Amino acid sequence: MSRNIPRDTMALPESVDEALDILAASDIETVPIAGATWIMRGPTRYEPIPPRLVALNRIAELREYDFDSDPIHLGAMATHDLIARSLPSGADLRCLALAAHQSANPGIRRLATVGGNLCVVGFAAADLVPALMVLDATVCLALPGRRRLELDLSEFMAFRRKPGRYLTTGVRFARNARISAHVRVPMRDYPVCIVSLSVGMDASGRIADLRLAVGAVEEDGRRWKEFEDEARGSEPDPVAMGELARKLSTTLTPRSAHDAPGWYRVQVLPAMVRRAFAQVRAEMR
Amino acid sequence: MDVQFFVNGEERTFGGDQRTPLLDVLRGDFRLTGTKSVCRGGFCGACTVLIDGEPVPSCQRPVGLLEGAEITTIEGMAPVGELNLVQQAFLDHDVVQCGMCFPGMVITLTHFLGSNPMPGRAEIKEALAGNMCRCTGYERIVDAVLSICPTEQAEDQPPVPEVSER
Amino acid sequence: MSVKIDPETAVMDLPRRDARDKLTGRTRYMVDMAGSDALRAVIVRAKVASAKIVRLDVSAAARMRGVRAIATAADAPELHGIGIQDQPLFARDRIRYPGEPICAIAADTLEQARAAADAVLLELEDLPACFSMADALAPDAPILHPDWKNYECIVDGVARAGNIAWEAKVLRGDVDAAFARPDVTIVESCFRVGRQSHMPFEPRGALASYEDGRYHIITSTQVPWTVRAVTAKVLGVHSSLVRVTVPPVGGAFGLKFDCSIEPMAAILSRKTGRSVSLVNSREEETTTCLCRENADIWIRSAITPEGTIAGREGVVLMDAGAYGGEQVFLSTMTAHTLGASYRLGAARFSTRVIYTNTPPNGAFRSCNGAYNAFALERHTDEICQKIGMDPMAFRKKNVLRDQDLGSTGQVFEGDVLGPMLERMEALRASTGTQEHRAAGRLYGRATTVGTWNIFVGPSTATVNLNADGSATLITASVEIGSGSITQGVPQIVAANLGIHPSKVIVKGADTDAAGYDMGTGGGRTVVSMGSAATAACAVVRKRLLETASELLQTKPENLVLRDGRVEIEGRPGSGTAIETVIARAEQTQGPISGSGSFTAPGTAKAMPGCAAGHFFDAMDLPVFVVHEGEVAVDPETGEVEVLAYRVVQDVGRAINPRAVRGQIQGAVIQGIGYGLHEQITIGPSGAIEQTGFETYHIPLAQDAVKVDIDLFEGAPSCGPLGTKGVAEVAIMNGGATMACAIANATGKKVQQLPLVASRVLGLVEGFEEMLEHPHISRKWSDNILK
Repeated sequence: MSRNIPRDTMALPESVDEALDILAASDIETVPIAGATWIMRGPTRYEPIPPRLVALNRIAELREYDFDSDPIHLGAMATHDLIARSLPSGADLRCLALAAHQSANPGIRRLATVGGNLCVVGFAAADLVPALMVLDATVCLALPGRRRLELDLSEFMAFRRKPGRYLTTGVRFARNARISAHVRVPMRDYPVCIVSLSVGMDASGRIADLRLAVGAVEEDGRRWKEFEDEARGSEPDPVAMGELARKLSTTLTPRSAHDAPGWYRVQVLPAMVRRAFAQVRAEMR
Repeated sequence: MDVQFFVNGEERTFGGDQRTPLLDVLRGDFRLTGTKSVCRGGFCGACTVLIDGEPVPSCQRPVGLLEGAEITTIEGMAPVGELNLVQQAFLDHDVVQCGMCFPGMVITLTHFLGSNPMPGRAEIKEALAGNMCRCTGYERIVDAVLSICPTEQAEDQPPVPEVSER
Repeated sequence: MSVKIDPETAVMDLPRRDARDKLTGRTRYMVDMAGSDALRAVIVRAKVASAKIVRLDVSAAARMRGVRAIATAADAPELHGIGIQDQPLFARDRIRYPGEPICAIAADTLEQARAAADAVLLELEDLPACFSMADALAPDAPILHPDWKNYECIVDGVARAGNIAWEAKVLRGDVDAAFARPDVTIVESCFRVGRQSHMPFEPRGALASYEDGRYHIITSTQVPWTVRAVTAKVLGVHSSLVRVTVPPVGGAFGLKFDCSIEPMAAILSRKTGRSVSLVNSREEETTTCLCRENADIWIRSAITPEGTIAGREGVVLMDAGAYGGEQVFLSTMTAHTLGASYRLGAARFSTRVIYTNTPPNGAFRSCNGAYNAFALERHTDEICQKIGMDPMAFRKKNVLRDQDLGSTGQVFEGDVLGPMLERMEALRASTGTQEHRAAGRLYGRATTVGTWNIFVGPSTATVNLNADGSATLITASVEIGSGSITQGVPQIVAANLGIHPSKVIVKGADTDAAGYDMGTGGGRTVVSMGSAATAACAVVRKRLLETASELLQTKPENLVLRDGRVEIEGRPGSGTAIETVIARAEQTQGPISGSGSFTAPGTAKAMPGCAAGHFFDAMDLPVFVVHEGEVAVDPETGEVEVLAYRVVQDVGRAINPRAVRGQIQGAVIQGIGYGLHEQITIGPSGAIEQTGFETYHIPLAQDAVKVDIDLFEGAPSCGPLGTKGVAEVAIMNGGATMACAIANATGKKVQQLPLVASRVLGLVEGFEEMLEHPHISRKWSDNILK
């Protein structure tokens, strides 16, 4: 890049508030970066790198990770690789561990962060989003005026599309007694369909408590409430669950893109749901 | 603001646009052209370098983030005139074709073997998910890596996907 | 004088001489060569598919900061093209495809050049466009090249008209009579393939300078002499004013078998007096890739009750894109691929090259062979299904054997494909099959055959002997990764001179140093350049042995070259070191040097009148493959796993068996990519929608499978030491094998490539629309120009 561009194309704040002040004071497009993997490959999407970047890597608060606490707190700078390596083993967290481990490729997993995965609008195939949704994760935000806010992830998905300067500082999710699962297709490249689920059974072995999220199918990942409502009270039988997914697949509005037509994303969904429940069943045994 | 960091053990300073990908600084400013610019999107792995010991695509690293970082490029993977174990195995097995992907392959696999000294075939392939090669069809690369692993693994089969329960 | 070379002395697993530098990052490819002294250039490209250029104004761009020169159509007055001279370097009065170059800008930095590109004013008037071959063949279709009649063609008298850029025909025997026989079973099939993009890691580009009144182009190409000729042609200067040198090439696969953007860099270097680096961005490289073309194929066969092929007819439509390019030349290969492999009672084929307002296509490893093999082998399996015959038995019964006729009446020598099929069965017996790993998925296996041609043709080489006993080989062949000029040809030279190949220095391609060569590709380098080098070595050997004969006081006939010595035959260790003889020759007659040449032997003949519009009617050096694949298809996702892959390949003689296997492994995975993963789509504006590695999926390590390989040696070959080209043909049946295996696994009619997961799932679920090809007439004679 040429030398005659003003040199302060990157700010390196040491605190969240400093970062927000920089964002607030900017008169040119200024974008925060964590792993920077979305921004840096912008040119391949015909999107130039924004004129000013605010690097978040020096902010200690965003690098605080409490993997062993309950709730678990992950600063926004937690990379996929770190999550995959550091998450405690436990059936409740398996969905997130798989999502973090299967995403993109090893080099990108070392860079791409949970903050970036949550904040990038336009990246429908974010792996962590559905996994965090079924963990009832909340997103920690810092707003101008030293305000802090914690939003349910589903609320955040809508919030993030609204204009306004804020920083995502981290995510928080409680441990639970449910069993979780995560499946995607294909295993390579970006997924065209992701299913994450977290399910708790009652004493008779029926589904008492279910969260199931679908990613990469619609523009944004989302909880599939229509499915959750119908499945409650049923046996967690993988085949039956797959059939239910087929029955309810019209409740989704799939997107078409280079990697797959919309119909395909919906067509494979029942199998993804069935396989996710098969993971759960394997865990139960 | 200048950025100072270490490249192959040598302290270097970059005074240009901090958004510049490390890849372009290495190739353009330092003329370390062994790091290849191919996809510029973090997919192909040809620009992989070690940053503080971790292999990452240098196209995805704005240089402004790298104050104080230790960077190792392919030129620094072995002393001049020498080859490391992985490079030697690739040479011995006649694995190279056009060669553009190999700087990245060498860095990824050298690091991988450091933490997985006895990998199986499937694990090596998984480790290469971010290192594309258009010429070789990969398998001989994997063979070469297996040849330098202390205990040669039995030919393990790739995992079978879950499709039962039909 | 003994001229017999023991071929076995050439056979060894010689490692690559260029591997060390490639592995340590020290190799300088074209893209690595531009330092801070070189200007950087960009191309301004058309964003629309079809328009009249009303006005191009570069004056504002020229005044921008850092801009040093702008090249436009005014700097490149002439048209170029491989078969038809129909293409300008820069669009002049008309834009014919999205991405077509308008002008090129050189500036101090890339950013300045890009900024200036945004300041170029282009005033356009929209013209109608054809984005598909069906559109282009419609009666009222807009004509892309209204001036087509005035274009210069390399071959005269070829059928052409409007959007039909070229038509090649084959007609042998009475096909109508074969189909009219009451006892035949008629099988008819339609196929379609998309484009395949090469995705070489090094994009096309050049570093050009203007030195002593001549252009020097450093480029990443397979064809330095073509770049020289085309640059001179479009610039309207004498060819001798262009010098082309080629450093190691970072992948080519046929993409770089044509001149591309090199002349633009040349113009800019003359205008600025500076070195100019012009390199495609990945997005430009992908969206203007000279892909393996998309094609529509119709094929029909009349099968006798005995299971032989009484008659076969077919129509192949090849999408040229906006300019004729390689497709014109490749139309010849229908006869030798779709029309080959099997013994045909009577045959007729029409191959049409169609202009569309899409990026031009080009050559890709095995070219149209890759999809003609797909069509032919799927058609063959459909025949077997219809007549209830085992596919292997049918192939064994019908493949071309010694003295059989090809579609153009060429007589095939040797029994090759038949024994290769038997070797495949033996190979399978030795490796076992992998059906057990399908684990609940749909399992399919298929065996396919294929025929391709080694593109012999002109080459020349010079060999200089040095005082230290080494030899310098000077050629215009290029190292593209295949090893042919770093392993194969030096091995041949070494065997001829009785020295180790490490003692053969290979001069990098330079048109100022080496004589004409048709190019590195088409499987031709070991054969053609190897033959030229062998001829050069014959001159060198003669002088060596004559000099040694004086020194050793014995007849040249009694001498042999071995282990760096000239020895008396039958007496190892006798005689003298080659250095002594070289030193003696320098004193008595001057240094020893020899040159040699080669071209197509021209011994293969077609029957007169069988072929029209062809660049060659018969194959000088046919080459054969038998492939077998095993797949598991996930019926719920359409994902395909290749469980096993086996190849029996006709290699003539493998002088570097390990390297040959390496080429086959790499080519097969590329072929599997063609079959399963690699999809190019043309968008509503005629543009290629994939822009790089994110959207165009080449196989990853996890998609690869270790190929079991049996090298079939001993088939007839005009190549030196009995060699054949091995790297090109190995890709050919990848798509065919995937398609046939998936058809067998799913029981569905596979008509299209690539078989990406969504297409396979569509087949399994019955969503996939069956192809009918309404734009191809079922009356064959309606598909030829009258």
